[in-house]
Amino acid sequence: MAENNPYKSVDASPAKSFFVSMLTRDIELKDAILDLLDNCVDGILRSKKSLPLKKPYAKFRADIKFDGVCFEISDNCGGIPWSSHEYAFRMGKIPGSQISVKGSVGAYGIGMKRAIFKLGKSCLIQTQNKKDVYEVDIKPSWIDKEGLWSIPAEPGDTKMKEDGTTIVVGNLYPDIKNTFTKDKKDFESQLKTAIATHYAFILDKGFEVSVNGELVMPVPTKLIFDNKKGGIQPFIYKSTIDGVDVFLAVGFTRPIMSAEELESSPDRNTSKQAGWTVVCNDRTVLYRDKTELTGWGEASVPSYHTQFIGISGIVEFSAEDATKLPTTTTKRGIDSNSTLYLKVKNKMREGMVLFTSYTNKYKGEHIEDAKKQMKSAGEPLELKQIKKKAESMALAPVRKKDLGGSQYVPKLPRPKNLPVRSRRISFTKPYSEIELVSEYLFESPDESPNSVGEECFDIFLAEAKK
Amino acid sequence: MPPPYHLRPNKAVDRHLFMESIRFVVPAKEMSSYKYFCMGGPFLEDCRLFHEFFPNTRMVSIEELDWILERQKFNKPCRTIELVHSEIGDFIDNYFSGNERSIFWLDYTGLESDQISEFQQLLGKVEAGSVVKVSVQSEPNRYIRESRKNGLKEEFEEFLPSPGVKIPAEIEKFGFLLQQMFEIASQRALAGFDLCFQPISSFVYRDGTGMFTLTGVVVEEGKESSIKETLKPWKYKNTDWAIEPKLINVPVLTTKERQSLQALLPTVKRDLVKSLGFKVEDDDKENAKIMEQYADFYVQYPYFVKGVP
Repeated sequence: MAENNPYKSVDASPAKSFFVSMLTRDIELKDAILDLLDNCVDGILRSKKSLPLKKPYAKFRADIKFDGVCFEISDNCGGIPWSSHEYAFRMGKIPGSQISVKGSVGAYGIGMKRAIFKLGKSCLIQTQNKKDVYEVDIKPSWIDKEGLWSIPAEPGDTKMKEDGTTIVVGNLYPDIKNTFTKDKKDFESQLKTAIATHYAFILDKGFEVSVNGELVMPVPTKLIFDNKKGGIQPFIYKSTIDGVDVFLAVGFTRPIMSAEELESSPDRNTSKQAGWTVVCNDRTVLYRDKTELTGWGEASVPSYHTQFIGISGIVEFSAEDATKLPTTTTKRGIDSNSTLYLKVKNKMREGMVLFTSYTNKYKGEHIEDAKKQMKSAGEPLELKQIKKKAESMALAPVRKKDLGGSQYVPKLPRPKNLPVRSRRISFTKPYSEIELVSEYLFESPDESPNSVGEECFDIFLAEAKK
Repeated sequence: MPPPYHLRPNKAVDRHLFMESIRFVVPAKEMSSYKYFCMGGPFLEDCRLFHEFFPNTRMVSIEELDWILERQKFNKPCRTIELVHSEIGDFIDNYFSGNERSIFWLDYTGLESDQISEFQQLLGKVEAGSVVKVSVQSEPNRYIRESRKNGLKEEFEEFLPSPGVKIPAEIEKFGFLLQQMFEIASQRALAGFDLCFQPISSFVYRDGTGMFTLTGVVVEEGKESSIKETLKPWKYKNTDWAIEPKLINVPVLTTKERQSLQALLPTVKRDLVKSLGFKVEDDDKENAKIMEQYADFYVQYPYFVKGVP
């Protein structure tokens, strides 16, 4: 039978162009650069057996530079030991191989290569890890040649001051070159924002990243935490599920706003702090999401609306084995089908609904009470401060069959049903006329319409009382 | 109250410099094929000046308020102004260049992210060779309180050069932050086009309220250098995004004082301080600075004369 088979076999070997041209389309440029930063952090995790708890990444840094000629990232994060070259340079991780770096987010072994191919056609990687000092030079001819998969590695020319890696990508693709020249300022700003938000935890723990010479500062998510019982506090849940530590906190990040205030502030400018941030092994994989992906508009939670601009939540997943984390290959997204994530999402909704219903209760005539409650709670706290507080709080155990772990359900204030002693005055006037009156009253055209209206009323009230 | 609109000396200087800059970047023989769009206000002062400089260019003034529009109809300095009753945002929404090059002045009084968005939208609509000037409030004193600073950062998050940027307290530095925000906005607006927004001048000034103003040309990629070359002889240019906006802060002088200084100008020695024999500012340093300002801008500084009917 086999002898008569004219078909023999088919070639299913991968085409290089798939890796070089196709895979790179799935990722945005700034995310590809964040992948390179992930490798720097992996370097730290690999090189240090035990990291100090407080500032585990202190004294480590990565410097990113780019212009129309090349892109460079250099770090002092320990370099790539020759024993790990297989993991570092092969396209994809071999099944069954050991976890490359404990606590990493890189589960697929594609980040660095994809980032390089996204940027340009040639690349020099120089690395030093203790005695191993070597460099790998990827040339355009290698990229163009099908079937050639090995790249020569050579001993490095010079010894670096500290163990680390420098990657220089040249022969930039025209689009990339354009982004690095014509749109440089815009891209720089987007990249810095991406690093400041997606790396907020890592930067806060001591890692330093500079972009074209300027150090990036972290932008943390904060929640209002009143020390007084019965005040505004977040909902907290923590657990360890199948080797993954989970910590969740949701609450108010800023005071809620009245309908008038919302009307005068366009949606896109006021809603930025709201939504869910999901963190996997210190990397932010989802930032301020307000969709069904994070439970908005599902079950008893209403869909996101600007009246909920005050609500913000953070979920942190940490695991030594990155494959257990609910993240996608790009590491900047959530695997929404992950069983772990679906379980935790129940808790996200459970917490969130406390704050949507609080908002609904207070948004009308009680809005000023809500503002006072939030103002009196003091400065909002960062996640690390909330975690510290949670250690000494009495968390109630959650039934194992539900999810296990423990949680804190805050007793949020409820509006007192006092008889209404005041009435709302509301009216609409052309924007330009409000500006005119604002200029007249406050010598500035930009006072809020609310203040302008109130001031007019107060002036005439004083007159009327005379 | 800030001084009446038409008596703001620093704005008058800025207006004059705008007209000068157009002369550099638009060839005289092509001026008649351009159209000037502005937010002229009740006195249409910029239209009056524009018409003096470029009498053959058609003008359009956009005004939202009908009572001001009525006043504009009365104050029209010439026949070639079309008065349009519209909010500027709506006007830009509906604007179509029809292959015609234009000169736009988005003359805002406040500072809002919507204004930057309108500027971006306009850049995506004008023809290559068009000139766009945008003026917004640059008043760092409004952001002294931490909550105000955070509010500003939140509103303009997408345009900030970096999320950790400090909000400066000096008008020049604050204006520079705005300049960087407009740089980012312009790059984003024209990403994917073979066009870029090449700055030609940027100023900050304060007639009561601080203002930042940026003028640039939408040019085909690669032609930026020819614009820079054209502007080389003009001492008020700012063709480099990395350079801070120039301050306009002319002194209030009597006609007699100005006439006495006139004979010494232009001067590089900056010896105007001595020549008057007295100070116009109490502080010596400030006095020297403001006289230098006069030496810089005396050509563009108009004479405001009280007239009795």
